[in-house]
Amino acid sequence: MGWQLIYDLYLLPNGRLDEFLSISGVSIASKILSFTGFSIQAEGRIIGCVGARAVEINNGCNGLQLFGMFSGFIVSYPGIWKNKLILLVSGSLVLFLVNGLRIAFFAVFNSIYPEHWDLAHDTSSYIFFYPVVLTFWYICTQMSSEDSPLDQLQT
Amino acid sequence: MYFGLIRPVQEQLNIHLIHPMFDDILKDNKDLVIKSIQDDITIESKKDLFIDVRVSIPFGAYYFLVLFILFGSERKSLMRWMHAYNLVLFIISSLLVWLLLSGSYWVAPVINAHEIAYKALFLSLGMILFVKEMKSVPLGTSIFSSSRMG
Repeated sequence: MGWQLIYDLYLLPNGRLDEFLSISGVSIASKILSFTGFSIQAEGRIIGCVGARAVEINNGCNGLQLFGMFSGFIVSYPGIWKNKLILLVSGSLVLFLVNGLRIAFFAVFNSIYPEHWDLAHDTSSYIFFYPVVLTFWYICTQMSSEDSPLDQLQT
Repeated sequence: MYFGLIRPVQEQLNIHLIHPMFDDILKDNKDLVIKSIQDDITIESKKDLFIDVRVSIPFGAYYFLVLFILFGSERKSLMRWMHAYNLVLFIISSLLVWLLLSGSYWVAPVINAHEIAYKALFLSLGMILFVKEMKSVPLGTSIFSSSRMG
Protein backbone atom coordinates (compact mmCIF):
# COMPACT_ATOMS: atom_id res chain seq x y z
CA MET A 1 0.00 0.00 0.00
CA GLY A 2 2.87 2.32 0.92
CA TRP A 3 4.61 1.56 -2.35
CA GLN A 4 1.48 2.38 -4.34
CA LEU A 5 1.13 5.71 -2.56
CA ILE A 6 4.79 6.52 -3.26
CA TYR A 7 4.25 5.47 -6.85
CA ASP A 8 1.08 7.55 -7.38
CA LEU A 9 2.24 10.62 -5.49
CA TYR A 10 5.92 10.78 -6.47
CA LEU A 11 7.20 8.25 -9.02
CA LEU A 12 4.33 8.60 -11.54
CA PRO A 13 4.30 12.44 -11.61
CA ASN A 14 8.12 12.48 -11.68
CA GLY A 15 8.10 9.98 -14.53
CA ARG A 16 11.84 9.31 -14.76
CA LEU A 17 11.77 5.73 -13.51
CA ASP A 18 8.71 4.97 -15.62
CA GLU A 19 10.39 6.49 -18.68
CA PHE A 20 13.55 4.46 -18.11
CA LEU A 21 11.55 1.23 -17.71
CA SER A 22 9.38 1.93 -20.76
CA ILE A 23 12.28 2.80 -23.06
CA SER A 24 14.54 -0.01 -21.84
CA GLY A 25 11.59 -2.43 -22.08
CA VAL A 26 11.08 -1.44 -25.71
CA SER A 27 14.81 -1.84 -26.30
CA ILE A 28 14.80 -5.39 -24.86
CA ALA A 29 11.65 -6.25 -26.82
CA SER A 30 13.18 -5.03 -30.08
CA LYS A 31 16.27 -7.18 -29.44
CA ILE A 32 14.11 -10.23 -28.73
CA LEU A 33 12.02 -9.69 -31.87
CA SER A 34 15.03 -8.98 -34.08
CA PHE A 35 16.72 -12.11 -32.76
CA THR A 36 13.64 -14.21 -33.51
CA GLY A 37 13.42 -12.89 -37.06
CA PHE A 38 10.63 -10.31 -36.88
CA SER A 39 10.87 -7.09 -38.87
CA ILE A 40 10.22 -4.37 -36.33
CA GLN A 41 10.28 -0.63 -35.96
CA ALA A 42 11.11 0.79 -32.55
CA GLU A 43 11.69 4.31 -31.34
CA GLY A 44 11.53 5.55 -27.78
CA ARG A 45 8.44 4.12 -26.17
CA ILE A 46 6.94 2.89 -29.43
CA ILE A 47 7.43 -0.51 -30.99
CA GLY A 48 5.61 -2.44 -33.70
CA CYS A 49 6.03 -4.95 -36.48
CA VAL A 50 6.67 -3.38 -39.88
CA GLY A 51 3.39 -2.65 -41.64
CA ALA A 52 1.27 -3.12 -38.53
CA ARG A 53 -0.09 -0.89 -35.77
CA ALA A 54 2.54 -0.10 -33.17
CA VAL A 55 2.16 -0.11 -29.40
CA GLU A 56 3.23 2.62 -27.01
CA ILE A 57 4.41 1.80 -23.50
CA ASN A 58 2.90 4.46 -21.27
CA ASN A 59 3.83 5.29 -17.71
CA GLY A 60 2.00 2.93 -15.40
CA CYS A 61 2.06 0.09 -17.94
CA ASN A 62 5.58 -1.16 -17.40
CA GLY A 63 5.24 -3.37 -14.34
CA LEU A 64 6.61 -0.83 -11.88
CA GLN A 65 3.43 -0.93 -9.78
CA LEU A 66 3.76 -4.68 -9.45
CA PHE A 67 7.20 -4.30 -7.91
CA GLY A 68 5.63 -3.07 -4.65
CA MET A 69 3.49 -6.15 -4.38
CA PHE A 70 6.39 -8.43 -5.25
CA SER A 71 8.81 -6.87 -2.79
CA GLY A 72 6.20 -6.38 -0.04
CA PHE A 73 5.76 -10.10 0.47
CA ILE A 74 9.48 -10.87 0.42
CA VAL A 75 10.29 -8.09 2.87
CA SER A 76 7.42 -9.05 5.20
CA TYR A 77 7.92 -12.82 5.22
CA PRO A 78 10.07 -14.08 8.10
CA GLY A 79 13.58 -14.99 6.99
CA ILE A 80 17.21 -14.01 6.68
CA TRP A 81 17.78 -10.55 5.20
CA LYS A 82 20.62 -11.75 2.99
CA ASN A 83 18.27 -14.20 1.29
CA LYS A 84 15.58 -11.53 0.97
CA LEU A 85 18.05 -9.19 -0.69
CA ILE A 86 19.12 -11.87 -3.17
CA LEU A 87 15.47 -12.60 -4.01
CA LEU A 88 14.61 -8.91 -4.36
CA VAL A 89 17.50 -8.20 -6.71
CA SER A 90 17.16 -11.36 -8.79
CA GLY A 91 13.35 -11.07 -8.88
CA SER A 92 13.49 -7.45 -10.00
CA LEU A 93 15.92 -8.39 -12.74
CA VAL A 94 13.71 -11.24 -13.93
CA LEU A 95 10.62 -8.98 -13.86
CA PHE A 96 12.53 -6.39 -15.86
CA LEU A 97 13.43 -8.96 -18.53
CA VAL A 98 9.94 -10.47 -18.53
CA ASN A 99 8.55 -6.99 -19.12
CA GLY A 100 10.67 -6.85 -22.28
CA LEU A 101 9.20 -10.19 -23.32
CA ARG A 102 5.69 -8.87 -22.59
CA ILE A 103 6.27 -5.82 -24.77
CA ALA A 104 7.56 -8.08 -27.56
CA PHE A 105 4.38 -10.12 -27.20
CA PHE A 106 2.29 -6.94 -27.45
CA ALA A 107 4.02 -5.88 -30.65
CA VAL A 108 3.46 -9.24 -32.31
CA PHE A 109 -0.06 -9.69 -30.97
CA ASN A 110 -1.11 -6.23 -32.12
CA SER A 111 0.11 -7.00 -35.62
CA ILE A 112 -1.94 -10.20 -35.82
CA TYR A 113 -5.04 -9.56 -33.67
CA PRO A 114 -5.36 -5.80 -33.25
CA GLU A 115 -9.09 -6.18 -32.55
CA HIS A 116 -8.31 -8.18 -29.39
CA TRP A 117 -5.77 -5.69 -28.04
CA ASP A 118 -7.74 -4.90 -24.86
CA LEU A 119 -7.96 -8.55 -23.92
CA ALA A 120 -4.21 -9.05 -24.41
CA HIS A 121 -3.39 -5.92 -22.45
CA ASP A 122 -5.68 -6.76 -19.54
CA THR A 123 -4.55 -10.36 -19.17
CA SER A 124 -0.85 -9.89 -19.85
CA SER A 125 0.01 -9.41 -16.17
CA TYR A 126 -1.51 -12.78 -15.32
CA ILE A 127 0.50 -14.47 -18.07
CA PHE A 128 3.86 -12.75 -17.69
CA PHE A 129 4.24 -11.15 -14.26
CA TYR A 130 2.24 -13.25 -11.82
CA PRO A 131 3.98 -16.59 -12.53
CA VAL A 132 7.32 -14.87 -11.83
CA VAL A 133 6.04 -13.16 -8.68
CA LEU A 134 4.47 -16.35 -7.33
CA THR A 135 7.58 -18.40 -8.12
CA PHE A 136 9.80 -15.98 -6.22
CA TRP A 137 7.32 -15.88 -3.33
CA TYR A 138 7.34 -19.67 -3.22
CA ILE A 139 11.15 -19.72 -3.21
CA CYS A 140 11.00 -17.16 -0.39
CA THR A 141 8.78 -19.42 1.74
CA GLN A 142 11.07 -22.37 1.07
CA MET A 143 14.22 -20.43 1.96
CA SER A 144 12.71 -19.30 5.24
CA SER A 145 13.47 -21.66 8.09
CA GLU A 146 10.74 -20.20 10.26
CA ASP A 147 7.09 -21.24 10.34
CA SER A 148 4.60 -19.44 8.16
CA PRO A 149 2.89 -16.41 9.74
CA LEU A 150 -0.42 -18.28 9.57
CA ASP A 151 0.84 -20.90 12.01
CA GLN A 152 0.29 -18.39 14.76
CA LEU A 153 -3.35 -17.86 13.82
CA GLN A 154 -6.13 -19.81 15.46
CA THR A 155 -8.07 -22.05 13.13
CA MET B 1 -15.73 -22.07 -12.73
CA TYR B 2 -14.59 -18.55 -11.87
CA PHE B 3 -13.47 -17.61 -15.39
CA GLY B 4 -16.30 -19.57 -17.04
CA LEU B 5 -19.23 -18.43 -14.90
CA ILE B 6 -18.58 -15.93 -12.12
CA ARG B 7 -16.40 -13.49 -14.05
CA PRO B 8 -18.71 -13.27 -17.08
CA VAL B 9 -21.62 -12.59 -14.69
CA GLN B 10 -19.56 -9.89 -12.95
CA GLU B 11 -18.70 -8.36 -16.33
CA GLN B 12 -22.38 -8.24 -17.31
CA LEU B 13 -23.29 -6.73 -13.94
CA ASN B 14 -20.55 -4.19 -14.44
CA ILE B 15 -21.77 -3.22 -17.92
CA HIS B 16 -25.53 -3.29 -17.37
CA LEU B 17 -25.94 -2.42 -13.69
CA ILE B 18 -22.95 -0.56 -12.26
CA HIS B 19 -21.78 1.53 -15.23
CA PRO B 20 -25.24 2.99 -16.01
CA MET B 21 -25.28 4.41 -12.46
CA PHE B 22 -22.67 6.91 -13.64
CA ASP B 23 -24.68 8.09 -16.69
CA ASP B 24 -26.11 11.16 -14.96
CA ILE B 25 -22.69 12.12 -13.56
CA LEU B 26 -21.10 11.78 -17.01
CA LYS B 27 -23.78 14.05 -18.51
CA ASP B 28 -23.03 16.78 -15.96
CA ASN B 29 -19.27 16.39 -15.78
CA LYS B 30 -17.65 16.28 -19.21
CA ASP B 31 -14.17 15.97 -17.68
CA LEU B 32 -14.78 12.45 -16.44
CA VAL B 33 -14.22 9.26 -18.42
CA ILE B 34 -15.72 6.20 -16.74
CA LYS B 35 -15.36 2.80 -18.37
CA SER B 36 -16.21 -0.74 -17.38
CA ILE B 37 -13.33 -3.04 -18.22
CA GLN B 38 -14.01 -6.68 -17.37
CA ASP B 39 -14.79 -6.68 -13.64
CA ASP B 40 -13.23 -3.26 -13.03
CA ILE B 41 -14.47 0.31 -13.27
CA THR B 42 -11.89 2.85 -14.42
CA ILE B 43 -12.29 6.55 -13.72
CA GLU B 44 -10.14 9.09 -15.54
CA SER B 45 -9.99 12.86 -15.71
CA LYS B 46 -9.39 14.39 -19.15
CA LYS B 47 -7.83 17.44 -17.49
CA ASP B 48 -5.72 15.20 -15.22
CA LEU B 49 -7.35 16.60 -12.10
CA PHE B 50 -6.57 13.26 -10.46
CA ILE B 51 -4.64 10.12 -11.34
CA ASP B 52 -6.39 7.33 -13.21
CA VAL B 53 -8.33 5.12 -10.82
CA ARG B 54 -9.32 1.49 -11.16
CA VAL B 55 -11.90 -0.03 -8.82
CA SER B 56 -12.57 -3.77 -8.76
CA ILE B 57 -15.88 -5.35 -7.93
CA PRO B 58 -15.60 -7.21 -4.59
CA PHE B 59 -15.50 -11.01 -4.63
CA GLY B 60 -13.08 -10.96 -7.54
CA ALA B 61 -10.45 -13.37 -8.83
CA TYR B 62 -8.15 -13.02 -5.83
CA TYR B 63 -10.94 -13.79 -3.39
CA PHE B 64 -11.83 -16.94 -5.29
CA LEU B 65 -8.18 -17.99 -5.52
CA VAL B 66 -7.88 -18.00 -1.73
CA LEU B 67 -11.33 -19.53 -1.34
CA PHE B 68 -10.30 -22.40 -3.59
CA ILE B 69 -7.19 -23.07 -1.51
CA LEU B 70 -9.08 -22.70 1.77
CA PHE B 71 -11.95 -24.90 0.64
CA GLY B 72 -12.18 -27.84 3.02
CA SER B 73 -9.40 -26.57 5.25
CA GLU B 74 -9.82 -25.91 8.94
CA ARG B 75 -9.36 -22.16 8.72
CA LYS B 76 -13.00 -21.21 9.11
CA SER B 77 -12.31 -17.93 10.89
CA LEU B 78 -10.11 -16.78 8.03
CA MET B 79 -12.85 -17.63 5.54
CA ARG B 80 -15.42 -15.68 7.54
CA TRP B 81 -13.02 -12.73 7.67
CA MET B 82 -12.61 -12.89 3.88
CA HIS B 83 -16.36 -12.94 3.26
CA ALA B 84 -16.92 -10.05 5.65
CA TYR B 85 -14.10 -7.97 4.18
CA ASN B 86 -15.45 -8.35 0.65
CA LEU B 87 -18.98 -7.53 1.78
CA VAL B 88 -17.76 -4.39 3.56
CA LEU B 89 -15.96 -3.41 0.36
CA PHE B 90 -19.32 -2.86 -1.34
CA ILE B 91 -19.84 0.03 1.08
CA ILE B 92 -16.25 1.28 1.35
CA SER B 93 -15.53 1.23 -2.40
CA SER B 94 -18.82 2.95 -3.19
CA LEU B 95 -18.10 5.59 -0.57
CA LEU B 96 -14.59 6.23 -1.91
CA VAL B 97 -15.84 6.51 -5.51
CA TRP B 98 -18.61 8.88 -4.36
CA LEU B 99 -16.00 11.02 -2.58
CA LEU B 100 -13.86 11.10 -5.73
CA LEU B 101 -16.75 12.06 -7.98
CA SER B 102 -17.77 14.74 -5.47
CA GLY B 103 -14.45 16.46 -6.02
CA SER B 104 -12.34 15.01 -3.22
CA TYR B 105 -9.49 14.16 -5.55
CA TRP B 106 -7.11 13.29 -2.71
CA VAL B 107 -8.96 9.99 -2.45
CA ALA B 108 -7.69 8.75 -5.86
CA PRO B 109 -4.28 7.51 -4.60
CA VAL B 110 -6.03 5.94 -1.60
CA ILE B 111 -8.35 3.95 -3.92
CA ASN B 112 -5.40 2.77 -6.03
CA ALA B 113 -3.37 1.91 -2.94
CA HIS B 114 -6.25 -0.12 -1.56
CA GLU B 115 -6.66 -1.96 -4.87
CA ILE B 116 -3.03 -3.08 -4.92
CA ALA B 117 -3.08 -3.87 -1.19
CA TYR B 118 -6.21 -6.00 -1.69
CA LYS B 119 -4.53 -7.96 -4.47
CA ALA B 120 -1.29 -8.32 -2.54
CA LEU B 121 -3.09 -9.40 0.62
CA PHE B 122 -5.18 -12.09 -1.02
CA LEU B 123 -2.36 -13.32 -3.26
CA SER B 124 -0.01 -13.52 -0.26
CA LEU B 125 -2.65 -15.36 1.75
CA GLY B 126 -3.09 -17.77 -1.14
CA MET B 127 0.64 -18.43 -1.32
CA ILE B 128 1.08 -18.90 2.43
CA LEU B 129 -1.93 -21.23 2.66
CA PHE B 130 -0.76 -23.20 -0.36
CA VAL B 131 2.67 -23.73 1.20
CA LYS B 132 1.07 -24.66 4.53
CA GLU B 133 -1.23 -27.21 2.91
CA MET B 134 1.65 -28.64 0.89
CA LYS B 135 3.71 -29.13 4.06
CA SER B 136 0.82 -30.87 5.81
CA VAL B 137 0.32 -33.45 3.04
CA PRO B 138 2.62 -36.52 3.07
CA LEU B 139 4.87 -36.99 0.05
CA GLY B 140 3.27 -38.93 -2.79
CA THR B 141 -0.31 -37.78 -2.14
CA SER B 142 -2.24 -34.98 -3.78
CA ILE B 143 -3.33 -32.00 -1.72
CA PHE B 144 -6.76 -32.47 -3.28
CA SER B 145 -7.08 -36.03 -1.95
CA SER B 146 -5.83 -35.16 1.51
CA SER B 147 -8.31 -35.55 4.39
CA ARG B 148 -7.52 -31.97 5.39
CA MET B 149 -8.93 -30.78 2.10
CA GLY B 150 -12.25 -32.52 2.66
